[in-house]
Amino acid sequence: MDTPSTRLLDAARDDPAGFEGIVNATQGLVFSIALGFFRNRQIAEDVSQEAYLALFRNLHKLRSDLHVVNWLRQATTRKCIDYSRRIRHRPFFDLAAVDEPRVPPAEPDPLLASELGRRVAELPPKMRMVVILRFQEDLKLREIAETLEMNVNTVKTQLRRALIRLRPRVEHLRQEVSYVSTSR
Amino acid sequence: MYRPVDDPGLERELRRLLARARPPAGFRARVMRRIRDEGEDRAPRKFGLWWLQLALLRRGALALAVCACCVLLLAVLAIPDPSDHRASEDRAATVAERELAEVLQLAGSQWVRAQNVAFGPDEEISDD
Repeated sequence: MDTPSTRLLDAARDDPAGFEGIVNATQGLVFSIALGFFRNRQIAEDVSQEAYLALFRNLHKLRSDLHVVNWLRQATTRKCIDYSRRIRHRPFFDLAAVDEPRVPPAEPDPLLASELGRRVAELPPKMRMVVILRFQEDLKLREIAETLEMNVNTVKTQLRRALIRLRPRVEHLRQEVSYVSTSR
Repeated sequence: MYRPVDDPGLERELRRLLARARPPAGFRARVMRRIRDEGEDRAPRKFGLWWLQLALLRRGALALAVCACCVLLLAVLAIPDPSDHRASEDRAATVAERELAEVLQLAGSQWVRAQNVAFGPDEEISDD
């Protein structure tokens, strides 16, 4: 059996400057989860920094680089949910997070993306996090359950309900978009 | 059993919407600045100034710790040593033995004196 890599972890333990290797390797993951959850870059950055600080304080408990990634993913999801409860953040869709519309408007359609983003941001915190871990991180249901410390059946239910909530509005918008593009 | 909502279009849109985002410029530097600050804050503790930590304990916790130490010390001192107990018992037995001997001796001399008073000092007491 292969021994899991500990290269990043060892470097970070030896010297706080070595922690930069972990940040470099995982910043996309951490920031994207927070951004997907809050749709606000400033809050996403604050939450990401808190997650990295927590990791720094708990480095001695971790055993491998893979463990670091899983721990960090779990810490970020917890921080997001805790933060949203604490500040009772009313989610909103940050326009800066949407790609500039291109001409001709190729996919993704900005209107559809904007509306879908708004709908995702309105989902309850845990349900929103299930959607993010499923469609952003491509995690399996069992992995999502472990990350969020939930029952697998609860994850299935939450995911199904989320998709049912999102579907009608997106379908409606899709029809609008196809109507506009055919009438041009 | 999980029944997926059969809408590949929706799932595709979600994957597109939630695609990994690039962190803002300077993100890594800002994280590292906070990590360095945290590392400096933790440095004194790392070198083990345990007495400083003790002094920084809340007053109530410190008083409680001192009381616990006193109770423990008293308990250790109050428990009697078994060998001391045996020696004191031996001493008491010796004293009691000596007192008993004195009492018997006294009783014997009183008995002789009573005989002298009753029958005269020179008379032999015969069995007849």
